Amino acid sequence: MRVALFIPCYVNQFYPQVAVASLELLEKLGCEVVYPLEQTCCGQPMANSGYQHLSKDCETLFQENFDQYEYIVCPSGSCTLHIKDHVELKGKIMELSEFLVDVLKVEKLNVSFPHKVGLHQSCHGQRGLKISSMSELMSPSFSKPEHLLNMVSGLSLIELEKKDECCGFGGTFCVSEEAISAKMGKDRVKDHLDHEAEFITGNDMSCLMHLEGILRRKGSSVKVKHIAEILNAS
Amino acid sequence: MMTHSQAADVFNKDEPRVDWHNATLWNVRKKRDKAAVQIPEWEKLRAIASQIKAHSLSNLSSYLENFEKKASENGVTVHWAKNGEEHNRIVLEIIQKAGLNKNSQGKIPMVKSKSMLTEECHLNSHLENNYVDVIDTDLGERIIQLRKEPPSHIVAPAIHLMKEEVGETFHEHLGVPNIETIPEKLVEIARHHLREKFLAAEVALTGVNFAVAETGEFVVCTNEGNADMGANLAKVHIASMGLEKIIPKRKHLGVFLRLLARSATGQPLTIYTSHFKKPRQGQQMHIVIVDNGRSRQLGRPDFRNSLKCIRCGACMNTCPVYRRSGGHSYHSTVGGPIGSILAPNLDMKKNADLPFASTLCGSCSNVCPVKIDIHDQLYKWRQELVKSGYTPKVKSLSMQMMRFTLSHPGVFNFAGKMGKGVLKNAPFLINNFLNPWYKQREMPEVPQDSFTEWYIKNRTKE
Amino acid sequence: MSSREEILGNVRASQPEIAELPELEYFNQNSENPVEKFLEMATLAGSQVYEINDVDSGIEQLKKVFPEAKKVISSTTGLSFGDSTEWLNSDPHTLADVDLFITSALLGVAENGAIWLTDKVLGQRIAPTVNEHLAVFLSKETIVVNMHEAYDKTAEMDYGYGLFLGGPSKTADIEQILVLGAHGARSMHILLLP
Ligand code: SF4
Repeated sequence: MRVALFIPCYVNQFYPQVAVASLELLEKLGCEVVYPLEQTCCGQPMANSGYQHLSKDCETLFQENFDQYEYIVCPSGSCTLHIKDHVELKGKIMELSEFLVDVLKVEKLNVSFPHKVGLHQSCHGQRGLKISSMSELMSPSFSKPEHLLNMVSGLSLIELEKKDECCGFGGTFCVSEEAISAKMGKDRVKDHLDHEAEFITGNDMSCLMHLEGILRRKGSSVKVKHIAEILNAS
Repeated sequence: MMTHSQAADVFNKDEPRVDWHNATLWNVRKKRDKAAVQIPEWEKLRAIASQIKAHSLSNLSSYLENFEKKASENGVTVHWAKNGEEHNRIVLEIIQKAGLNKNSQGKIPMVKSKSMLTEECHLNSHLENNYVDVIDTDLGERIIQLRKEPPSHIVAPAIHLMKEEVGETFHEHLGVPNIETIPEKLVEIARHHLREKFLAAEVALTGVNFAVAETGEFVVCTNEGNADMGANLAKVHIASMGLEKIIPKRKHLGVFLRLLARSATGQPLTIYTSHFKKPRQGQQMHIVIVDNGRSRQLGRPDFRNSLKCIRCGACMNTCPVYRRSGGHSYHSTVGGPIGSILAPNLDMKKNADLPFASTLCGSCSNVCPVKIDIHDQLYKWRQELVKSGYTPKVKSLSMQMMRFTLSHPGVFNFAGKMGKGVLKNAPFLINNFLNPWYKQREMPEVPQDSFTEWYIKNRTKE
Repeated sequence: MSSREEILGNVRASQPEIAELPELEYFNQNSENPVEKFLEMATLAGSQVYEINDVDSGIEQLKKVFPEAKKVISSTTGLSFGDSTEWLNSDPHTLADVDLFITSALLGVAENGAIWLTDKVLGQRIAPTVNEHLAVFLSKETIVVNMHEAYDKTAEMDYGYGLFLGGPSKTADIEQILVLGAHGARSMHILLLP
């Protein structure tokens, strides 16, 4: 299957290993992956700040780059959601884990990651794309990322007190509401630490970057890892 | 006036208190979950409730007329107020014309049960300036009335206070000799204090939770019984209602009441769910129907759904921002997520910061019993506010820069390479001249190559 | 133009195209024993529930619980406990010192343990609220599953004031700690008749 890879701008610049892991993982699972070199950003940071009208150029560029592909896969729920809501595409954009579960129907992964891992449910993937059930809704529970992580040998998922509370990143919120953003991040980190996580994983590097920033400031040895990196472990 | 983020900054100076506030409200959210999960048809009920409200709003003018007709037939006098000022004037007139007795200070004694609408209209100060002695009787409201504070939560107005502070308030204002800290004792003190007020009141004002177009009756929900104590003793009962409170039929109450208390506090029903239809013998009953910006909100297609709100407060209890910034940080009568989509309708300039006081996580929309798309409306208000010019200039400049960079791949790749060290082009940090990111967080470590560079080296043939 | 005309005009101009009114369901299929559920929920809300065989044994029960009660009134005629006539026409304020008020409910709701009262059965609207303690006779056969059924069953009732009462008066306004006996009755005793 031929898929186009969309890498969020900040992942491209700061977390290339996440993009590499996504690419290799898709290749391992038999996809032919194309990475259009002219891509930049989905435009969400501007739109969420109230400048949706300015993000038009970004969206047009996105369309030019990606419109020819049947599947566009992106290792970020947040950027996927924005594109889904704002860019008209002939094909379909999917977040990585939902693509693995729903399209590739992955049932087995030959990887091992013998660690205690906390899963951070990023809001846009969860509540926006509905890749997992939500604690507020009285409906059957499921989680696509958990389903995948459960295939990793040696990995044990920890239980959290607040299963799906926002980490407080929130795009420009992280600086415009610094006090709340940092407090939310600290509380999220605490929940993971209280339950003895060695790694915090998730589907959005932006949230993980925020949590990482807090972990490192604390001098904690706990690390963040994007889900693609774990699923692509050896 | 402080903006939300400034107020939140102050609130967060006392971290243990933030943790306490957060935990108290999260407990309410947990109670809501426990109650909701026991109703197998919960999600279906939410959908039905939302549709009933959508229908009511789409036929609101007829339902209002119908309600007025039925209520009048029932012996209730119906008044109409375009705004808060007119509402206050009408209420005062009713009181003055009723020939009521004055207390020893020459004031007409009045008791009030919880009504966010009268807060919105600033009724109390108007009445107090005109020789009416207004006593809020909901315990939480009475506490903050004594402290001269606005409510911090629509269901639990004094939720920001600790029992020690309540004890101090009672000590200072009610002549309690010591500082009491046991909730049972504090409630007992309030019971005696307010009983006197109920028995002395000539007029009682209540809010309205639901008004039934079919029958002209209105429903008031309390746990304490203060609305009933007031209204069933006083000679005059005035009910203030926002015009969006109308529902078509009596049987629809079943849907909303099954949702309201469970969403609000996790109770299956409020203790007193009272239906007022006709005045009792010798009593006057008045309803004041208030617009105050509601018909304008109804005319905004993106935001009219906010009028479906039944004021359960669930969106506040679940909101991770509200729980950590407190209700007062929203500088508006109704705080939290719902307040942030209502307030800009009333005053765009003053409330321009509120729709930005959210991460758009969406939890509010999921708990809302009438399925208001709260977080989507927050997003839409941001667009609206920026278009109307209500955001800081600095932000708009940096946004222009970002647009240029992000829509020109060449510039993007170059800028990325040059600026990485200072994260200059990480879009979420564009607003970074003092870079608040760094205050409590480290920056990510900067890699040698971007992914694009890696890809060119490892996957392209050239 | 009057405010009324202006408001209604603005509303008319602003309201969207008519949206459909959904059909209601009762959601009362396969519900377990409603009487049991009622007992559970009423107790949870802080009410005391007694299953009794007849009115007289109910009164015996009340006398046991309130041996000291001085002022007892009732809106149910023919009881051997309390005044059931004189208070009916007195000023509501004079009821403030009532120790126990006894009445009969028209309906009970299983899902929340609430009872339905109207001014017709209460005699005076203030009666169930202003007293210290409240006792209510309720017959098991009037217990419905949920609020949808409750509104259906009470649709034809004529009242000026109607009340679903879910238990003793309570508040959680201080640190969300639940305390019974805020303004209204401190305790509620439900006497369940077969
Ligand atoms: S918006 Fe919804 S959740 Fe929030 S108070 Fe209103 S009804 Fe409740």
